[in-house]
Amino acid sequence: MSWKRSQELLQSLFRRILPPRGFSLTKIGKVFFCFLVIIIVIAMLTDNNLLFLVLSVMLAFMIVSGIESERNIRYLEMDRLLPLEIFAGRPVQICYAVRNTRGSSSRLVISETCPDGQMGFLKASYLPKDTPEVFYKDVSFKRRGKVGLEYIKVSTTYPYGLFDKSITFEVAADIIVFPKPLPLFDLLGLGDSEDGHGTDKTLDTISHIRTYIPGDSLSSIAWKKQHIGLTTRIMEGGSGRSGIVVVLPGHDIEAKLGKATSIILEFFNKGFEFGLAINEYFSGFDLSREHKIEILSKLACVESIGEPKWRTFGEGASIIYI
Amino acid sequence: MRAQASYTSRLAIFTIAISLTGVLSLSLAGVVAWPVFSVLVIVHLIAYRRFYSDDLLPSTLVNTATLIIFCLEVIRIWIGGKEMIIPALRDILVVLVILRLILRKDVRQVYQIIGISFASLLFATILTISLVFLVGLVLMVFIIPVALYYLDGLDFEGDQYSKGVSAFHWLVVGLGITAITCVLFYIIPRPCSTIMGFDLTHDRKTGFSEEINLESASPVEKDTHIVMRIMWERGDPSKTFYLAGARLEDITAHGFVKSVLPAKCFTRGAEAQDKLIIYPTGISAENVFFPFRLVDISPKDVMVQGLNYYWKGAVPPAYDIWVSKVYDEDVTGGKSLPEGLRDLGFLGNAEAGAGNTFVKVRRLMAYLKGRCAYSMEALDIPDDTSPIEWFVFRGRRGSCEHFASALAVMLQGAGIPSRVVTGFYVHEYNPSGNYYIVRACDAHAWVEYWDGPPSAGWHTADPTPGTSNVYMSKARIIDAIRFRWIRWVIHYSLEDQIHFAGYAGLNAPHVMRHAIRLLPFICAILFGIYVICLFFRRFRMPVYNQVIRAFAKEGIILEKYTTHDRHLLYIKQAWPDLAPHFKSYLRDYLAWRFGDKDIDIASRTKDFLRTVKSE
Repeated sequence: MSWKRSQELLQSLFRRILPPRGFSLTKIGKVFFCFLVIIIVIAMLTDNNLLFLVLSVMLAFMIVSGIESERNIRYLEMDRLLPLEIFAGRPVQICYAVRNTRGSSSRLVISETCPDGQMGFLKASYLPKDTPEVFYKDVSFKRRGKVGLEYIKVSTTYPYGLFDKSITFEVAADIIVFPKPLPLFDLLGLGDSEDGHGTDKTLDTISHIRTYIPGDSLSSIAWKKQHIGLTTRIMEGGSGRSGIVVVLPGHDIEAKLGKATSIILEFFNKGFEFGLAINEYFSGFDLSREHKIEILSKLACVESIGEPKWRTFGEGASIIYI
Repeated sequence: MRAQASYTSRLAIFTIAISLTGVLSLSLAGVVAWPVFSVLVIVHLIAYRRFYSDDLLPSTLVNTATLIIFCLEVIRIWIGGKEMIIPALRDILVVLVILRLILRKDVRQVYQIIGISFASLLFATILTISLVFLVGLVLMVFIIPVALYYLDGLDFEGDQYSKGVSAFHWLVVGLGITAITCVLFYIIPRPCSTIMGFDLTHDRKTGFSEEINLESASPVEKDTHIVMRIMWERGDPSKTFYLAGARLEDITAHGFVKSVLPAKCFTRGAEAQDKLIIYPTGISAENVFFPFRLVDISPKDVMVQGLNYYWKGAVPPAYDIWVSKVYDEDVTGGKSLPEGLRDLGFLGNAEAGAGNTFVKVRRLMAYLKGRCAYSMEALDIPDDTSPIEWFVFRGRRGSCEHFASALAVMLQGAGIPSRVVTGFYVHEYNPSGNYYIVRACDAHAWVEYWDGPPSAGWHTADPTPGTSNVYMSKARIIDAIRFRWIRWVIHYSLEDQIHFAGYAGLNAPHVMRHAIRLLPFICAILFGIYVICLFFRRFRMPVYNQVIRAFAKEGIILEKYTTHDRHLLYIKQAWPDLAPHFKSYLRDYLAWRFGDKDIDIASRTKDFLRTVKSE
């Protein structure tokens, strides 16, 4: 056996005996620890063997507590299920599946942190042996973009509440948080208008406004804040069955991206072909989920908006400039 | 909801139990009187009945009362001095225990109750060395984990797991803590010396007067307090022997006194025959006690003054001595008798008669035993008279000191070098622990005389009549346990640790031999534990698993990870006659399992298992 191999074996044995664990004292644990220190000092000063006996009891208590808490978390298996689409500012449910393969577990606290801060925690009171339990956590990400989730921490104060022992599961996942979709009535800037005439200068190709007819392109719908009924804007040159969102340079990038996200989502929900042009990127037309996610991912990762390279998109497509 | 109520009720029981254990520890240490303890038990019972009630008294009033009592106790210490510290601390602890019980108990309060109880235990610890102290400690070891477990579970509402934790689990936890404690206690390094050196315990020590006082009676006659225990580790143990503390060879008219000589260091003698370990647990004396002739001693922190040996520093809790039954041949006796003792010297010379030394000594001993009676009563000796001569010629009654002094003087008168020795007469053997017990009432005085060739050397002679009529304890097993407690817990020291370390290193093959001999015994214990585990596991087995197991015994293997319907389907095919019974049982089981119905599922399962067997 080579030296390197023996070293690896030794390391794995060491990890098996002393696996990496997080450890902290609870409030009561701190009091316990203070008692322990006081007893050590007095026992050493007085040479009173009964104090050494009490000290031994306390140390034994700590050891038993450690063994029990280790038994509680040692054989845990953890998995995280993330939703396919995560939008900034919108709560999503993250699913944690946890299982103890060799015994039951009690009093587990599952927590996870992301660059935005802690994503909250879940409490699992009891986990039967070899039975996966699923826990859901509502999480809301504040900002769009790439978020690296690195590990899940499962901690326990079991059995005596003196020490908080934790195990870390390295379930790394890079998620892309899509831009926060803006409410659709803000999209065309017509929300405040009683007659439906908009003020958005980019949409000067509108010829007239009529009552909504099912099947109209959703991109040309104006949602009014104060009216229940929908009106449809008919844009020149568009067939109403496909649309392209062109993001133009402007001041409020986040608002522009939010608008683009909302429109893309609406296109997808209604089953129309859609596309995106931003900076040097043009997605092409498609109506698949993959296409949507590709576009939303592109929007999520935009850092700045310049003049779009693409201006012509073929016949029949409604062009929405944002 | 019901589970939660049961949970908090159990928490209440264990909290009260811990609080009571703290007070019990104080009583076991002799700090709190037993009548007070009885009252506190009643207070605890009342507190248990009203555990989750609101405050019995307004909390502000209670806190104010606590503050006032605390101030009063401080004043008490200030006025009474250091002596008042312990009673004041005791009173504060008792008051805190009661007040915590009066106030409404939320989680914080329960933790406080546990803390106060533990503080009581610590307080008791520094005030006692008694073996019964262990009762409080062991109770704490078994109860505190359970209470802390329940407290921790309060954060997890509806903690179901607590229902599954059996008494067996807690028993294992308690035994585990005890076992680890034993190991840790013996390996935690001890400080090399006592720094503070204050001893608050009621550890009674008997004094030892190395010089005799012939004018007053000794009060130790009826004192059965154990002062020493002796293990005869190597050699040929004697049934009885004399343990010398001081050799008195200078003669005055008032009796024998020790030679005042400059102290010198101890030097090892010639070869030893026997090794003894002496545990001076109940005596406060600087003298080194040993039988026969001292050859070597460990620890060697000893100085020699004349014929006597003294500890230079503190008396060790145990010391090894190597002795030889062959006495020194050199003569240091042969002193001339003082004026007041010449008559007794002449008498000794006359009564000794002719013959060798041994015959003369026996003759004089017989003379004294025949002439004088043993008595511990106070003697009225005139000031102008030698107490030794008064004892022989007029009083004719006295203690061992009088007999020994008289014989020594008479031997000197007969030309035989002699001296008086004070120490203990060792005669009580405890077969339960293989050691000798030395009590305060075994204090004794005897004579050593020098005999010429062929048996040249110093020999022992005891002229006191009725020496064999001595106290013998019947509680030998209890004393054996107490001895081990004192030796291996109270007086366990750094020297012991060094000794064990050396033993483990040097005698590893010897230890292995012991281990191999113990192997069957250890295996038997492990097997016993395994059987007990199986027994408890059977009781803990979920009811449906018992059904699956019963079917398996009948040759029908039901899949574990499938639904109950599939089980029923399988039984319908494999055992049609039983299927209606199984269906009925399943209905009840599922109603109990998922319907939260109050069904006695244990007895229902038992009935069904009986049906399975009978079918």
